[in-house]
Amino acid sequence: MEKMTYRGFLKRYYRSRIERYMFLIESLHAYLPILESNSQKKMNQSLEDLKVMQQKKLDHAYFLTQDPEKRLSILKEDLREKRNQKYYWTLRAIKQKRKRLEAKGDETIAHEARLMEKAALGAIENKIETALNRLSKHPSLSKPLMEKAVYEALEKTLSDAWLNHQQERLNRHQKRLNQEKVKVSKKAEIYQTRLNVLKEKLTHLEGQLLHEETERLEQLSEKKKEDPTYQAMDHAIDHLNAKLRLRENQDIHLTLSHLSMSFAGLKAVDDLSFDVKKGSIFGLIGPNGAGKTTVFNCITQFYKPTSGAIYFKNNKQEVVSLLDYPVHEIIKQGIVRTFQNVELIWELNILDNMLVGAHSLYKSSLLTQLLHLPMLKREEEVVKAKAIRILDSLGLLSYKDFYPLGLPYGILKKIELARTLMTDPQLIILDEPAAGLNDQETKALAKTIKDIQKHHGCTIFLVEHDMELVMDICDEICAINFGKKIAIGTPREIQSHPEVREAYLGGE
Amino acid sequence: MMIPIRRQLKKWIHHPYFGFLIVAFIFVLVQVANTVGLLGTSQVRAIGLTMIYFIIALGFTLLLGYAGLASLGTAGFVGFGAYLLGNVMRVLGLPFIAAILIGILSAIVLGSLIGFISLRIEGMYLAIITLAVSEVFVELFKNAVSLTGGTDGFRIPTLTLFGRTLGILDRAPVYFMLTFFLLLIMIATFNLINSPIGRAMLAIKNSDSAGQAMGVGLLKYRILAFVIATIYAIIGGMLYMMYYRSSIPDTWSLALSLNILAAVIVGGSKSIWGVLIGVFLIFGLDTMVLKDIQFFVTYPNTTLIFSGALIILIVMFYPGGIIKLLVNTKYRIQKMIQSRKEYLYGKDDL
Repeated sequence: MEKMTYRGFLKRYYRSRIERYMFLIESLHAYLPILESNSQKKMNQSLEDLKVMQQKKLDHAYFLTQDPEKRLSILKEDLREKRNQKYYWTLRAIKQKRKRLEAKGDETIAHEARLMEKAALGAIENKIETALNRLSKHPSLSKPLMEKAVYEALEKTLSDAWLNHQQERLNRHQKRLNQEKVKVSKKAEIYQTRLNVLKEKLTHLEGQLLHEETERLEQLSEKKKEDPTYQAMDHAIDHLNAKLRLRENQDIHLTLSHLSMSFAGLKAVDDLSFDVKKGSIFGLIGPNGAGKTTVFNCITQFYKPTSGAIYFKNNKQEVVSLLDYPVHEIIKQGIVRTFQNVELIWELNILDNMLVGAHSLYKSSLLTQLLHLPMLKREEEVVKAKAIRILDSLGLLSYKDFYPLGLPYGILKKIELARTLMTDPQLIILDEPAAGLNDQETKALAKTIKDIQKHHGCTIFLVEHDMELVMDICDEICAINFGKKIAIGTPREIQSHPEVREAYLGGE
Repeated sequence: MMIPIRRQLKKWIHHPYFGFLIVAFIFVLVQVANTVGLLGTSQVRAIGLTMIYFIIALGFTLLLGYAGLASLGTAGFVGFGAYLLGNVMRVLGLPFIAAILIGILSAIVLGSLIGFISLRIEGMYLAIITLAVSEVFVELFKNAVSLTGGTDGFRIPTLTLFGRTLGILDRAPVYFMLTFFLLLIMIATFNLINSPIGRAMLAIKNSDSAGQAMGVGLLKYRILAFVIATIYAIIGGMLYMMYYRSSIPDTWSLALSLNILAAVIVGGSKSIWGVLIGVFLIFGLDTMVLKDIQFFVTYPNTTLIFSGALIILIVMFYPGGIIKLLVNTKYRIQKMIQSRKEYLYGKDDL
C-alpha cells in the first residue's frame, strides 16, 4: 500500500490536474463539430424562411399584374383549394358513414345512406359556392394594375436583394464561427501547455518514487533472513514482484497476488493468484459457492480483502494497487462491472441510464450544475452523442426513451453491457452475463462480447455457469473451488483437467 | 418577419422555466388583488404560508424522491432557521443578506452531520434519528429563553429590509421577496434534478451498488442531499419569520414534518408540479377553504381526517402521487380522442 506522504499527495494532485486538462481539451475538440452542425442547421432554417417570404411577395406582385377577371379566377382557385382542405375530414367522415351503413346488407338502408351522403355533399358544395360568390367584392380586385416591367424589376431587385442578404448572412456567420474556432483552439493550446508542464513534473516525481521503491525492495529482501514471520515477508515480496512484473510486462493487465477474503472465519477466497492478459477474454469458473463473485467484489473494492494485493495497469498505463481506491473511484482507473441480476436505474429511461454510466466523465462543479452553465450543456451534448453512438452500435437505439421496467431480460442485459462502454474502460468485468438468457440470446451475447473486445480493445473478465459460452469465447480460464485455484489454462486444458472434472461431477 | 417571431415565442413557451415564471406571476397577482380589494388579507396570508411550505417541501422532495432518504426532522430545521433570523436581525442587528449567509453555513454543517449518520443508518432508523434531532431543537426552543423567548414566542415588531423599515402589518414587500425566493428555488431544484447530480441521486436510491460501480460516491451525494434539503428548510424558516414576525415552539413539532411528508407523497415525490399540488391540498385547502366552513370551525382538528384519508387513498391507488394520476388521465384522454377519430374517419384505408 502506498503511504500518504507529501509526495504521494503531490502525485495524486498532479494526476487529477492532468486528468482535468485532458478532459477539457477532449471536450473542446468534441464540441467543435457539434457547434458547426448546429449553426449550419440554424442558417438553413433562416434561409428557408427568407425564401418563403420572397415567394409570398412575388406571388402578390404577380397577382397584381393580372386583369381583374383573371384575379378573380385566381382567388377562386385559391379558395376552392383551401375549402377542400378544410372539409377533407368531414367528407371522409360522410363517406365512412355511408360505407358502414351499406355494409349492413339491407338495400333500403343503403339507399337512404346514399341519399344522405348526396344531401350532405350538396350542403357542403352550397357553402363553398356562397363563399365563392362573395369573392367578387374582394378589395384586392380594385387595386390598380401593375405593369409587367415593374413586376420584372421587382422580381430582379427582390432576388438580388435576397442573394445579397444571403451572402451577407453567410459571411457574418462564417466569421462568427471562425472566431469561435480560434477561441476554442486557443483555449485548447493553453490547456495543452499547462498539461505538458504538469506531465513533466509528474514523470520527474514518479522517477524519484520508483527509485526509492526499488531500494526498499532490496532492503526488504535483506531483512527477510532476519524476520521470524517468514511467510508474510514472502507474500510482501511476492506482491512487489507482481507489481514489478506488471510494470515491465506489456501483456499483463491485472494481477492478483495471494488474495484472501474471509467472512467471520469462513474463507470465501483462499490464497488466490493469477494474471489476466491484456486484450483477452478471461473466464473464472467454479461450482456454486466457490467464491467467484467474491473475487469480483474484491477487485472492484465492494469488499476489502483480508490479505493479498491486486495490481492493475490503468488507462494511463500506470500500475496501481486497487486497494488504495474507494469503490466509486475504481471506474476512473478503467474498470467497469456488471451485476448478476441486472442493476439498472428503474426510474430513469435508457438514455439517462447510459448517462449515469458516464457519471465519472462529468467534471462540472456543483455551481455549474445548479445554474446549468454552458459548460454543463457542452458536456451533456458530448456525452449524449456518445451514448447514442454506443446504443446504435449495439442495435438498442429504438429503446432510447423507454423505461427499463417491462423490457425483455435479454435487452436489459445488453443495455447494462452498453452502459459499461460509456467510460471507454480498459477492463470489463461481467458477472454471469448469460444468466436467465435462452440459447439464442446467449449466442447473440457471445457475439456481442467478442465484438466489444475487438472494437474497443478492452480486456474482458467474466464469471459464467454456461460452459458452452465460456469454452466458446474465453482465451484463458481459471477454475476455482472453495476459494482455491485448482487449474488455469486454455479451454481445452481445463476440459481435460481431472480436478476440474472432480469438482463439477463429484469424486469418489 | 412573422415566422421567426412565432418560432421564437414557441421556444420561450416551451422553455422549462416558463411554467415557474407563470406560477411566480400568479402569486404576485394574488398580492396585487389584495391591494385592489378583490381578495381577503387572510387568504393572502394563507397563500404566503403555503409558499413557504412549498419551498421546504421542495427540499424534502430532493431528499425523499431523489436520494431516497427518509427524514422526519424537517420541522426542527425550519424552526432553527426562524429563530436564527430573529436573533441575527433583531438582536445582532445585521442585514438580511448576512442572515441568509449564516443560515446557509449552518445548514451545511447540520446537513453534513446528518449526512454522515445516514451512511450507517438507513430507512426507518434514519427517520427516527432525524426525529430525535428535531425534538432536541424543539426542546431548545422551549428552554433557551434568552435566545428564543421560550413558550411565549419570539417576535420581530419592526423589520429593516434593504434600508426600509417595515411595520408589523407591512407584509407586501416580504411577500414579493418570498415569491422571488420561490422562483429561484424552483429553478435551482429543476436544474439540480435535470443534471448529473439528480441522476446520481436516483442511481443511489435505486441501486447503491450499481451507482458506486458507475462512480457515484455514496457519502458525497447523501451529504449533498441533506445539505440542500437543510438549506431549503432554513431559508423557509427565515422567510416564515420575516412574513409572520413571530414564532412559537409548538409550530415546529412533529406534525409539521409529517404534513410536509404527506404533501410530498400526495403530490408525487419526484415532480415539482406534483409537490405544488400536494402542498396546496395539505396546507392550502386547510387554511384557505375549510377554515370558512362552520363545521370545521367548531371542530378544528377534523381537517386532519381529510388529509389522512387523502394519504391513504393516494398510497393505496396511486403510489406515484396526484401528478401521476393527472399524467395518466391526460394520456387516457389523448387515447380516447384518437379512438374517436378512428371511429369517425376510419383508419387510413380510404
